[in-house]
Amino acid sequence: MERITMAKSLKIGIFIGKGASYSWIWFVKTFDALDFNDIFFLDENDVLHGQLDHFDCFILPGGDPFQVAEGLGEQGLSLVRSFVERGGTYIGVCAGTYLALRFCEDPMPWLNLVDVPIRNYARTPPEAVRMQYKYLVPYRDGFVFHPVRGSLEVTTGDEVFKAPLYGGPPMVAPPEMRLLDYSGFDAKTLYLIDEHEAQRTMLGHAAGIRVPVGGGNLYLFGPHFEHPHYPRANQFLHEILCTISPLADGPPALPVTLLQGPELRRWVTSLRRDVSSSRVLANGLTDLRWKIGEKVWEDEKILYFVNELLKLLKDLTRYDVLPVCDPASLRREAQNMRMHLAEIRVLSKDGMETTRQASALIDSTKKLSKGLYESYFMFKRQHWWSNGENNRTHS
Amino acid sequence: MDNMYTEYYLVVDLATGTAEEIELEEEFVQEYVGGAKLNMALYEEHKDGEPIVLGTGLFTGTLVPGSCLGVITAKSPVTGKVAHAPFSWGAGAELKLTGYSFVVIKNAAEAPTYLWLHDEIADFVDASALWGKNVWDAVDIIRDEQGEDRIQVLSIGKAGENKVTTAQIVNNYWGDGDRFGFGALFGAKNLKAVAMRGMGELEIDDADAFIEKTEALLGVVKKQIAGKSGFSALDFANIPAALKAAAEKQMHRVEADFNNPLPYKFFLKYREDPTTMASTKVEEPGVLVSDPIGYAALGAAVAPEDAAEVLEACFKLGLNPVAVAGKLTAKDKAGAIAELEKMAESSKADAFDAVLSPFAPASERAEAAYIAGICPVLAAAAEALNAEALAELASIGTGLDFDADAFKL
Repeated sequence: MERITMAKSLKIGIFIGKGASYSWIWFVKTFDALDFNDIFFLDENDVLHGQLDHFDCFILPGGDPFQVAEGLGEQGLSLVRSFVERGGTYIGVCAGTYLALRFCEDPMPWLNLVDVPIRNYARTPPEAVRMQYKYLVPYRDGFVFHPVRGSLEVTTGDEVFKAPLYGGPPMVAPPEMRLLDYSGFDAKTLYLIDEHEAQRTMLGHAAGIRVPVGGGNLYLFGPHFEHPHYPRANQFLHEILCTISPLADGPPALPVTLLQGPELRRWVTSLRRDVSSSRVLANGLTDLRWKIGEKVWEDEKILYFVNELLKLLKDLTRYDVLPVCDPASLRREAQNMRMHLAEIRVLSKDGMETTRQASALIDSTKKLSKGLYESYFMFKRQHWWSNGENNRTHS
Repeated sequence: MDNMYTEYYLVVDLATGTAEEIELEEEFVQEYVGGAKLNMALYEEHKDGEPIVLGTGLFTGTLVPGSCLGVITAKSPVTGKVAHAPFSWGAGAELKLTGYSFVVIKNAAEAPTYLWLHDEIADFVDASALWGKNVWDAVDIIRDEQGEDRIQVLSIGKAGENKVTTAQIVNNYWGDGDRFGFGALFGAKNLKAVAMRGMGELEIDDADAFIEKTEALLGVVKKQIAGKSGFSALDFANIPAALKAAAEKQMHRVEADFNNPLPYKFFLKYREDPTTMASTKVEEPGVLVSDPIGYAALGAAVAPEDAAEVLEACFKLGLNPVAVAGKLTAKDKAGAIAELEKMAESSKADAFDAVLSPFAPASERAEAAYIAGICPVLAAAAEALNAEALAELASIGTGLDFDADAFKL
């Protein structure tokens, strides 16, 4: 019990910078449900400015490891390595896992902290049976391929539970590293290659490993244990967090504007107007895909983002007071999001290329999400009274 | 209201450009249930603002068979009395899922406006560029402006803009049986349209029991309407044999409203081969006969093979086909359409004989349907959709106690 209580005060930084996909929202929702409130969001600039020093745990979620590495650069990657070596905990999922692994003889200049081969890297990958457009990523003189997507089974000790996989690797790791293995597929598993080939590639190999490096640890996962629809997988993640000792002080407090009363309502309503219009526009997009870096984004991912934003804004509508970092810039990002979507709609109707607009859209969406979630967690941490005072100052 | 409805209803003042959200209280729903009955209560409450009330029934947008109905309530410029008109297709469910189960529209805007409802947001949008456009063009422009082809639009054409009492409010491209001149009320309010996109969710008190009962009800309803589709579902419309024969030659497909197991609407093609199923470059190949009574009325006024195209003209101009059919003197298509265009521009408010009585449901089941938010055509055809069954479902869905009398006006 004490460990659980202590874990709640962990300072957790989630990477949402260049290359991060939308799946970081799953971490946010799951951590929120588990009542972790010291949740912060980092991009490559924050890492480069030494922000990692303030965290117990750094999460590198799903996305495009090529873009993440490019964004962080050698200096940023080096700072991540130092963070772990000095005692920090790195949790990588999917892209975050690939980024940390050295899985071939001539690896990309990424983190390369763990020498563990993966089963889904080959010079001649098996043929795709579906989703040709996203089952394969070129890497050096070979390819990383994705045998399956969706729900599957993992085993830890004697326990079997389900978790979703969206590109993460099966790892060939020694027993002392292994936390769980891929143990089976289920009715919701989507095979991207031949079923038997997928079984040979995946089953019996590591889905999650723990590797001590210096004073810290890396937890590297293929499946998305943070996915909010998989409560047992979330519990597994929770158990891992409970093993980490909270030592960090958290990042310095950001300057905030305290919005309250009619001013807050006007601000939230103006954001809701733009986000809702964006949702309408995003719903109207059909079968659009954008290749940004090595990552293929489908239009429904944008819709997921926007839906989550709208839910969050609806929650914030009920607040009497809200600390916000730079409300005007968040207002601009909401307008930008709507503008980019409108542009994509018009251009795509004429069959024109929209990748540049999609990239700008994703950027705006991330910035707005980051700002709103920052406000949300600040509120949760501080418990502001409706008169604008912080009740922590009264206790 | 926690279940079956949204938390708030909306009161819009077009004169001030303001919209106020008001909590939809459980006691209010317990007393007035919904649809035409609750609309009437809201009308009375706000009647100083000469309101038009757009409302949904208790079951609108749910899994209950035929749950497509929305109801427009206002004082008819035709009869001088408060009346109710239906809006079905996808618009009833769409309204509820915008976050507002009921919208009271008061007073008049200074300049042409359309109301854009989405995710509990009400926007007043300048409609100057839409004024003078026909209904079909207005719908296309609004959808393009807001960026979604699934936006549902209740709008008026020239007839409504000119406050002609034969005007009607049109549901997307198709007329929906507004016989009370409500189109003229939109025009008087400088309201070109109400556009809606609903992506919200509804709560149900005992969801498992509600779904189980609803599925059982659907099974019974399907048996009671077995074999009915298109003309065979339209006994009430009294479509003459010659008109049916003409329609058969133009028949493309039958259509049904949102969650309606009775496909009584049908699409006629006359600008391309009606057997063509794929989309072609013909942009306006025909018309959806969404108002079979109006179609029958026009079929008696012009040559049967021309009735569909004349119906299309009514929808584009925002004219009530039943009201204008009796006024047509030309028997040929071109002449009839030319007359309709003149009628839509006439501001003679007395031109339409006020022969319609205030809203009077044809049967007890139709009355219940107007309160429940269920397609009255389906309710008339399926005995299972009676007030007792609806009251039981209402109690399960809301957690309140309803009896059959609740579903009487």
